[in-house]
Amino acid sequence: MSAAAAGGGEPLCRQVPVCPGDCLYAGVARLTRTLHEGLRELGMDSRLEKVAGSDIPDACSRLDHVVAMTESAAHRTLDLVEDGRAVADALHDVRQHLALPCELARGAAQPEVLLGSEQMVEEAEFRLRAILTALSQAQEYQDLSGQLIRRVIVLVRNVESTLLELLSAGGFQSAPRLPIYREQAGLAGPAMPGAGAANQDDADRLLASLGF
Amino acid sequence: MDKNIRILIVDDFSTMRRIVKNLLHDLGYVNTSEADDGKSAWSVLQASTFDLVVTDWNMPGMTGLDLLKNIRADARLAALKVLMVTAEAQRDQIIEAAKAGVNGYIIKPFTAVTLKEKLEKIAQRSVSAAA
Repeated sequence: MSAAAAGGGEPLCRQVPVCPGDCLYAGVARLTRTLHEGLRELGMDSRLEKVAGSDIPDACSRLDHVVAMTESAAHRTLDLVEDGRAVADALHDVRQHLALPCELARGAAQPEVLLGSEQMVEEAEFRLRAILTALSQAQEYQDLSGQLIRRVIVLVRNVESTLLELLSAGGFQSAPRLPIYREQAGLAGPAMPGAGAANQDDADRLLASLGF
Repeated sequence: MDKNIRILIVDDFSTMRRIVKNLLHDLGYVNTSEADDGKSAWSVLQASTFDLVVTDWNMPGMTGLDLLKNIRADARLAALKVLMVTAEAQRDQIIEAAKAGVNGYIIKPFTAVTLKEKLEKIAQRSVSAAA
């Protein structure tokens, strides 16, 4: 929008020589009218209505779906981890069954085969348990990515609300007023790369300095 | 720490509740219950007795910090141990949790080793306080 279109080529304050507050309101009102007319001329009102009325809700639904899909995938993985734990428990039972034969074999001439088998089962059990623990921990991504996506959803819904209010105020349509969504006040959420948040060591040092 | 203690796991993400429960089970703590935010945790705490609460911070309804403050303000629950497991990693937040009386603070993502260390530290401090 050109300066001439917005204010006849002159600074707004010079045209409306009243107090600074009135000057501001008059300027905003003029800009709003100009924007309103400009949007109508360009056919933008219907595009904005579409963005606010359907595109943004659709984007939020898709993000909700992403959270639901990752949650489902993480639960599926955790189900498999639990199945794996049952296998580790079975290996543990095998070791228990081998205990007595191994004890008896210690006095025999060549106990190595049996004792070696017991050791192999033990190593397999421990290795499997370590893998399952790592797999389980790796699913933490779902919580952290879910929290980040929910923040984006809140932000997008706020843009939607604001757009609908603007459209309504501009007389484009009788848009329903949506609530402004709010995050928990003051919480920063999951740390982003390079955001300068504390890691566990930093937190431990800080708490130690506080007497923890 | 006594492996038979009753632990309440509080997190709005069901996957994280499950992960914490699995890790606790690996460490031998099998007496666990779950709640999906501070409000439901508060109801559970009113109805049953627990020895430890492992809670997230950022949850709808009632945050983990408000749950902690409620616990410390309640005569029956004031001595309950609270371990916060959260993605909130700002210095001011850690200090706020410490001032509210948290017993341990773990930043997500975390490992089984970190969880084990913090539980042991809470147990140690309990023993020292009792001596």
